[in-house]
Amino acid sequence: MTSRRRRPLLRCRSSAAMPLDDDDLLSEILLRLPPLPSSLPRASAVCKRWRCLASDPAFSRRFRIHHRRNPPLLGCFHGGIPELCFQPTMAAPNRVPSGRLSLQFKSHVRVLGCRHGLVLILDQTPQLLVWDPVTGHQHLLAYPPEFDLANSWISGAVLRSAAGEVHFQVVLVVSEYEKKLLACVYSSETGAWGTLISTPIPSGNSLHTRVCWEHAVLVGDSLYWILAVL
Amino acid sequence: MATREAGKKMIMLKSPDGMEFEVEEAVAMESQTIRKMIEDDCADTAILIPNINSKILSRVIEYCNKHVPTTGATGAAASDTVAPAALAEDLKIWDAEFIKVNRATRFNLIQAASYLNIKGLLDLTSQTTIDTISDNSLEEIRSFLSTKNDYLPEEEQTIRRENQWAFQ
Repeated sequence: MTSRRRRPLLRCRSSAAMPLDDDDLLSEILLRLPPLPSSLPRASAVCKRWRCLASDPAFSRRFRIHHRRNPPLLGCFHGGIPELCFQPTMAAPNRVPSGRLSLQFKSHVRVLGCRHGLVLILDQTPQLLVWDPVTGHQHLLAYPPEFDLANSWISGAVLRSAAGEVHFQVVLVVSEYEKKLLACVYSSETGAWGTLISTPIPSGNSLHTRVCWEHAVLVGDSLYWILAVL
Repeated sequence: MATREAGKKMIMLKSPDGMEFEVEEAVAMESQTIRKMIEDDCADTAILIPNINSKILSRVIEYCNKHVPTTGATGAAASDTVAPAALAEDLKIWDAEFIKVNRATRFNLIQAASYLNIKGLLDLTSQTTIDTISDNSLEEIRSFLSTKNDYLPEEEQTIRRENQWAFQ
């Protein structure tokens, strides 16, 4: 019994810090920090090794995947002339300053949608901008050549196929004057727009039916837009 | 491989300090590491679990025993009479009691859960560690986790300034 008493004590002392010395185990632990804006900046201030782990893109990806079911709502965007302003809604210390996530433009822009950490913006160039407010990464893309922007009402959405996925898709829908709806899907993985999808406007006064500017709703694997007769 | 009553396969787990634990195969297979060994036919005799002492291994087996899905005749009867939500609640209460251990034991359990690849136990032990520290100051976190602050004062100031809002 004497030796059994002594042994666990020795083991506990020597192994107590071990999970934190092992990068894999430390990242397993840090992965479970609450998905709040202040979590990783605060962890980064503990020591250099924690900073190195918390700022690793692979860790960020795992962090997003781990918390994919309960992401926090940091705030909302408003404006667009000439600045897209971020309005934080959380209390300190998770209140990300407005300036941190706002974006300046030279001309009027319209936000077509926000989803999965990305914002889809339509500018007057005309071009589409996919913006990741957290990393600051911006991805500009031209319209599908088949779209007649002068004669259409346009809406769109941005989405990722899975949490933690780097690539994204942009879906653009337009209602044309000639009784049809057009849709096209861009994939950042291929860097190209897919085949144009065309469908007649379902019913009623198709000449004046438009796809609304209200943001699309994602249900399961389907995106829904509201059509309205103007 | 040993077998016991009701045709349940038993398996022997050995700790490096010489203790042996006979457990049902289904319980042992809560560990994905052991499951793979069994499925690859590498577990005909006793399995030595390196780096996990008997005290920790017995706690791990206790956890797996509680969390093994109830299947078969007995299990079906149990799930007929107890609603899944009630079972989940019961497990939650049990987990909360199970994890009331000192820091060293919890760290050893984290290592064991990681090595044996038992997701539920890794979740429980890691989450409890984070819950313990998440409301504390940086100094308290460093002290609790025996982590040394290796920043120069000006480096730490810079890091705090970069995200000043997160330290308010």
